Amino acid sequence: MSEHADVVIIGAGAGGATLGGELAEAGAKVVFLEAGKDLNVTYGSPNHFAASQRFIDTINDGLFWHEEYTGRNWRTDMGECAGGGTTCYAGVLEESTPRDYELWPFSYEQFLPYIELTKKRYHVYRWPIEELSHYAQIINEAAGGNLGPTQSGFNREPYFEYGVYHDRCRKCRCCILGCKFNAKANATTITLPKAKWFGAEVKENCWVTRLNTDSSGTKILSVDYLKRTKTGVTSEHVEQHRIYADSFVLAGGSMMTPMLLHWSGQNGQALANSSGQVGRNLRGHFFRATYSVLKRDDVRSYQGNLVELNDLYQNFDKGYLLEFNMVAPPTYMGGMVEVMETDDLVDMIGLPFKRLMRQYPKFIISAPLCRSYDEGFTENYVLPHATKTNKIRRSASGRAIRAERAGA
Amino acid sequence: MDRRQFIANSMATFFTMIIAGRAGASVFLPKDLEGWSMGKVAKGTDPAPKPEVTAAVDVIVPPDPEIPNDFKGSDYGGDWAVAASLGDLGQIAVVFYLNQYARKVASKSFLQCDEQERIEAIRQWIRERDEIQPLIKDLLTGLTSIAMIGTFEENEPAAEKRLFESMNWYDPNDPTGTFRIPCEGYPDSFIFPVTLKKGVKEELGK
Repeated sequence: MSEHADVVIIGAGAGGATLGGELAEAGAKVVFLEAGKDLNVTYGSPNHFAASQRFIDTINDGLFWHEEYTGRNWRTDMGECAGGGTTCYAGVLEESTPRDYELWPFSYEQFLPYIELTKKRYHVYRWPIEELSHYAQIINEAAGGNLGPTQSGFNREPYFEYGVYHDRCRKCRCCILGCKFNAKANATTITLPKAKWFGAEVKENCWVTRLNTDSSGTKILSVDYLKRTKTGVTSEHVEQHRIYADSFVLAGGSMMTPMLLHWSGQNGQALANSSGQVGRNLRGHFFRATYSVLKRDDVRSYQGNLVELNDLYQNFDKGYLLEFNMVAPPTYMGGMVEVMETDDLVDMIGLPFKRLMRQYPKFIISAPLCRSYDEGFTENYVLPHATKTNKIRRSASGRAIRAERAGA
Repeated sequence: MDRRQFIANSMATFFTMIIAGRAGASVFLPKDLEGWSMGKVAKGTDPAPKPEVTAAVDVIVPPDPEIPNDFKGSDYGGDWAVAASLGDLGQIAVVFYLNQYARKVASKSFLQCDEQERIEAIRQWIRERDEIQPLIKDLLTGLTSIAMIGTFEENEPAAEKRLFESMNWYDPNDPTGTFRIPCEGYPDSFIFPVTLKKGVKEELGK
């Protein structure tokens, strides 16, 4: 079964959907191949919140589908749906800087106009710290005025665009799992509807397995993909397809893009890998917790307030990533003992620790986004067939002692 | 690692597995598992703390000389909390390691050491915590964190209040707030209503 399009975009996430919207508006026949579901957010949908709960189902299905049907030992954690990771993030958008482009073949200055255009498309701006909540101000103080720099993808004012209504931000703090009011910048409800508005097609549940080249191995002619016709069932419900196009855009994210290049090619040579740099130099999500004792009056954050950290990720305020400690003393101390540097704990154990715990009502854990270029990100890379490694290690008592955090 | 260390570590690992209930030997766990939690003590049925555990708790939570009549760990039963959390065999493992590190830093048993040597033995255990087996490290974590506050659940209300006031944890405007579950009673806060499927729970180990 073969098909044809002007442009095939592999991955309908932040990169693919943004480009697809522009190309479709320019008149191209665009087809998205998306591994996850299409949430189909349009005007009249109950809300984006409901769509996001479907997204959770997507994650659940996606966890097992790849291994079952491809035989490849890899799993996805987040972002496998039309809209990709933009569906489930906390609205925190870091400013890029010239240094981010040092390893890229173009400069920050060359890229800047496109950054500005994308920000305009997604209605992204920086929310002034002065307009954040009272508790965000406290955290900012605790962090030494070091919140950010970040931008916010939350609407100050409602707008209607390409058949989708976007409400203003109501500060419900559920953005990490989708915005209840559709007030968050994301590809699901902004650029994908735009692409569809101009005639683009989103093929959901389609997992690309290979890029096919011509005999020279330099031009991609078609891609093979598996289409899942039913979720959570046997391989009888998977169809093999091939699609031809004049142009292909590989936008599968930092993991799937290099893996797909690894899997494609001829004569044992992976595609686009003459440099040996495919899938390398991955950088982690910068996240640094600051444990502080406030000088001002007790905050007693464990009793609940406007920006507390609950079970999930409600730890932000208009694009600023925040975190409050929200645990009783026993849990807090156990956590402190485990996260504290060994040398620090050696110094603290005994009377200093007791004195520290006497200041418990003033404790605050803030997590401003911090930049660090000291991390050895050149050591991080994607393997063609990665193994499951990022598991949460648990102590004998069953408590997670080192949980790898997903990006916000 | 020599043979003696290997045997000792293996034994401690086994004990800790029992504590965690992974060996299925619930007979060694605190008597009534229903409602049991770390730090919850039922004096009379739970194991009594061994002298080494009491001594360790008292150096981990010493009286503050700057506060008149300040309490030490065992005053509010922190040693009972540690003992209840670890169980009989867990205590044996803790005592074994306390003595091992006491001999390492002072060449005598833990009880023979003075307070300074005792805290130094515990510090030595902490220094080596990144090299030892995770389960043994958990014994250390349990000892150091439970010792401080473990007894709050079983103290008389008046004693509990005294302890909380001493530690500045008592809020006269919200006396029950210290151990409130997240967001309880706050209408603008809620926990996101997402349930994970069975397979995902297994995957995440929940």
